[in-house]
Amino acid sequence: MSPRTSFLRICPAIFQLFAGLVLVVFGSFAQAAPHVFSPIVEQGELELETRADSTFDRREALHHARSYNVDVGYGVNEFWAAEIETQWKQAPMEPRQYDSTSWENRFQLTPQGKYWLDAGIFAEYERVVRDGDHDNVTLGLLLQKEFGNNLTTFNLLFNRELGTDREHGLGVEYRFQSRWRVHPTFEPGIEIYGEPGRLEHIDSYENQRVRAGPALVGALPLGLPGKLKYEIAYLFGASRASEHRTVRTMLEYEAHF
Amino acid sequence: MKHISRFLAVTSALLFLGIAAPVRADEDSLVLIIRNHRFEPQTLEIPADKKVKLIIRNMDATPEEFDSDDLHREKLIPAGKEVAVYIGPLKPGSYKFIGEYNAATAVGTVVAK
Repeated sequence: MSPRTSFLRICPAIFQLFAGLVLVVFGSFAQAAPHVFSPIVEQGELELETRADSTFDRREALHHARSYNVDVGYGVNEFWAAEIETQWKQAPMEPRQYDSTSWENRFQLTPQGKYWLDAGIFAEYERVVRDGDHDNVTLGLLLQKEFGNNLTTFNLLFNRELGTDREHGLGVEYRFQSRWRVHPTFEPGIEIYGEPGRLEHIDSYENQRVRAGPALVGALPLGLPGKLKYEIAYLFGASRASEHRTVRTMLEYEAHF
Repeated sequence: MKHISRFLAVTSALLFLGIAAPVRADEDSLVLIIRNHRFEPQTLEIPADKKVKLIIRNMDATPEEFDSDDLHREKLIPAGKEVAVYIGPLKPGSYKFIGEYNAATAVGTVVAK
């Protein structure tokens, strides 16, 4: 039986499982969770992903900010993967509502493992739905390095709002993950997420949003074509402006199609 | 604007240095063939502590996915095509790999020594 036939036969079951997981996550918590992008593209790989996080803080304005993403991605060729992301947000003390749709692209620049590090480019266009928000574009550099069983990934992202009355300049953001590939189902690591401000005016450290903490990543065998990947991280606020705690989760089904 | 230009220039330089450093292509090359949903050879010997370029050539009429948790590599090999996969440097030992679409027959081992 070809992989395509196998996938089509189990597709309904996978979507039912995925929908169920989505409902569980949606009912628990959800927030446009930051996550670290890999520069590695897998041609022909279909990804169904849900991400969520929630913040915890004694300050009411920062407590229980939530959002939730459902993404569908595909490895178009050996160097380009595209993804459509839908996002819901719930600001503290506000109701949950649909926030935006994004088109994300990752471009792998170098063959994995050929050079000292692996590199890629990230490009995203986000279309917002709420009045007062602005569409925006994000461009970024994705870097990854293997040190034996350790895999370290770094993203440097630049964001620009579009339209009138937008915030001028380039927002800058960095993301870092270093994990140890102890076992395919269990890869502990650490993550750091930072938002220093606008490139033209970097905020003082205490006014930057900086979060860091342990993470766990892995892939669970399904006994079916494809894999179920998970990520969970518990981030501590590392500056006065940051939420005291953030929990982020990700669940992804991927298969070659 | 001046800060952006300087920042991008520094970033580009660092990226170039990081990528370009070992472009001397000191890696060895080996060919791995997929035929009738099996790997040929089934066992590959490579030098330890050295990067190796594995050229995987799919002679079958269906795609195969080279998949190895030990080598931390996963790569689709379209039917009738060949793809390069870089592995290593590896410590001495055995590293298993499979063809995920035909895991019952497409199995192999890389031995680094």
